[in-house]
Amino acid sequence: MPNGFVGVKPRVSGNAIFAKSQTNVTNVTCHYYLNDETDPIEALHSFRDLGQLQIGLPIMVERVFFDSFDWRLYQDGGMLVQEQEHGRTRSKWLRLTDNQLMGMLMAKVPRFPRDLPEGPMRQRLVPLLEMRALLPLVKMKSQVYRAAVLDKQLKTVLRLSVELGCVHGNGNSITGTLPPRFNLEPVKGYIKPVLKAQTVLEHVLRLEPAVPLLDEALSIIGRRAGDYTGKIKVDLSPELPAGEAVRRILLNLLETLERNLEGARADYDSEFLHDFRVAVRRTRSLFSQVKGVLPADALNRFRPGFKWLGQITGSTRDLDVYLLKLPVYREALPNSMQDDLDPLKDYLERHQKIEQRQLAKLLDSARFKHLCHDWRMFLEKDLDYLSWSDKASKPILNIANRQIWKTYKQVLREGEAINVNSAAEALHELRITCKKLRYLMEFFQTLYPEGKIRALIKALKLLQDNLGDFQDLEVQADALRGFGHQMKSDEADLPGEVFMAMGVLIDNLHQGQQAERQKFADRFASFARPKNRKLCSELFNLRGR
Amino acid sequence: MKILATYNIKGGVGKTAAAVNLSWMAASEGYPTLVWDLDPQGAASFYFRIKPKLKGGSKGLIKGKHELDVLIKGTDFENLDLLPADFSYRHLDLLLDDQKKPTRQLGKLLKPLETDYDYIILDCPPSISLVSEAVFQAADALLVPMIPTTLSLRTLQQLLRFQKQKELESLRIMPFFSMVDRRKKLHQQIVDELPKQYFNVLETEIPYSSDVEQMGLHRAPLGSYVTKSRSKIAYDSLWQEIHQRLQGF
Repeated sequence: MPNGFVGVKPRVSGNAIFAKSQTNVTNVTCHYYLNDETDPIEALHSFRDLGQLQIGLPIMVERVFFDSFDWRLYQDGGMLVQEQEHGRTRSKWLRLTDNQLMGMLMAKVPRFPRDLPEGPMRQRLVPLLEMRALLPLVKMKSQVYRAAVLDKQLKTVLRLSVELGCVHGNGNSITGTLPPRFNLEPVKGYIKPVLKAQTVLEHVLRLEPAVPLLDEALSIIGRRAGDYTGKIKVDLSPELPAGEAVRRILLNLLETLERNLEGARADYDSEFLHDFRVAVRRTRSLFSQVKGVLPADALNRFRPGFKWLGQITGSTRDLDVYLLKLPVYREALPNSMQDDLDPLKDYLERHQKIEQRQLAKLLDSARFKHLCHDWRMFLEKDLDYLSWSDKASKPILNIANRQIWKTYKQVLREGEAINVNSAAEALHELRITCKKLRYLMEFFQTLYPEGKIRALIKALKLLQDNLGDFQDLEVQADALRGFGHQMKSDEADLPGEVFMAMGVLIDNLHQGQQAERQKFADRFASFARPKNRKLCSELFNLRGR
Repeated sequence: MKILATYNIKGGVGKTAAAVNLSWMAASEGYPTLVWDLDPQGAASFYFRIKPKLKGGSKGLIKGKHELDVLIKGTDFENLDLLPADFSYRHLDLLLDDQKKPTRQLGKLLKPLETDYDYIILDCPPSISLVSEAVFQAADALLVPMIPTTLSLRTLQQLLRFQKQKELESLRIMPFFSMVDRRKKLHQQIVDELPKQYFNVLETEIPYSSDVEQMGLHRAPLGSYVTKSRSKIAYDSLWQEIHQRLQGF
């Protein structure tokens, strides 16, 4: 897996902070590196002054860390680890900072959080992960030496452990060995033994704080937590030649596309293909938006390939979307009709599988491989921008300003021309122009003050949501009609109820579309308000300065 | 989060043993669980080897000086925490009475813990008082252990009347037989008859056994140190039954 481009700094648990109260540990150094030559049992014995020490036999613990491809658990400050110990499997959802248990399952981690048993863990993970699957990140096996510190009542007040771990690859081969770690596991409500233990660790044993186990294990396989995000952010400076800037953005998009390839091919979850398609669309958008920068022969050579990628991924994505929407569709129906949609679900799932298989084949094809390879070769090797075009050597800021300002004015023009009598096509046109503007602002965002460009993107997004919903609802209604016809001709003996339910649904969608139409004037007015106009002019309009 | 309370007007019927063993069952199945030892005698705290003492006493608790969370202690068992008893709980009635809407206070205190625990089990002191009423308001279900005697039946009837009087319709009352000695004719008779009159009685009965008495020596939930014992099996199936019933609402 290539190293990522945008990431989150691993959280080093180096700074001990006692928050809220002195009786509870909320963020405390719990992990230290133990010297290689120190005997684990001897290290544990250093804590005998803390109370009665109960030292257990060493055991093997196998762990697999899980997260979604876009690190949603990690970004939320947690991690999910599946542990196997004495043949017993448990999955723990832990807080990153202090390993506090947030939820536990006495089974393996399911593929999707919706497959978790009912309960708060499911309630919290389903909205966090949405459609994303939980995928194994890294597997490790450790020999763990544990000890408990007991008080006078023989109650455990602190747990200690020494862990000698290895990261395992696919199969069972060892990929790398972790430095030995000494862990403190505070017991809620018992802070004093933790403080005493820390004194021993830092002043007697003189150990250094360790990074969290997850980060350590990831570094062995050359990964970093948070090393993928679907968002685009490429560092650019205003004076950078346009050719170089465009090359960097395109390379970034190619990387996103390639990173999502495996998941899209295997259909781990629907978002891989989605992000893959977005990368394709952004690439194509950049082709047409900065036409004069890239050499014409390169454009002619690669454009058809990316168009093809858009086409071959379309039908699988459409079916994915309807499958994702299905729960919402069900909810919108009266209770008594909800189960009537089941044949539609079967139909969608069946066809999604067929399309997905077809897509996987195409993604394995020589055409696809050559396209990626040649495109990368072009982006990495052909660095003579001066020969690309006249524009390629100009500072990127000028090009970005001109293109964004031009597209922005087009959005205003098209939007202002829309009134209550305008045809739906006018809104569709505007939607496309808005999308162009959005991509441009995102490609070149690092050229502008962060707060200002973010505010504009946010304002644009609100308008786009409205326009997007307006069109999607119509497309969905049409698609449902199409599915209905197809289902009728495929299976003659389907119950009539399913078509009734789909009819109600189509009505609902049309009503929803009307509602979005009503909202348009306000949304557009909000986007085109004087404050935003001023901001746009200030950022992008060269002549206006 | 579901709040359960082990409760009976009478004492010595196996409330604390039920609270301790059922909470252990819940935690060992993976549900983060909290036991709140509301009894000033502190028996549940004793079983978990935790000092029956709260910083600031019950006054600090009720007056909102300390958030509940900082008073909670981890037990020796994963996923299972305890809010210890405090001797000052004997005045809890007076303290509650001092507050606006006294019977809503416990629920209010527990509210912030909603995302931390799947189950909270309140181990209540015997008697019927303002504290009990506050427990009834906060709890989703009352688990009522009953020794099968005529006196127990009377107290169950009292409890049901009280529920009606106070309009606590949403509170589920789940009585179950505890300390059952099948060799005693009266026990047999009541265990067989009561479920016909009051359909909410749980099917599982906890037998009278020295295992449960010995929990006081081990100072730990049964399941943590025995694998095959009649009582442990009984608590297991009692938990399964309660768990099942709770799924339904």
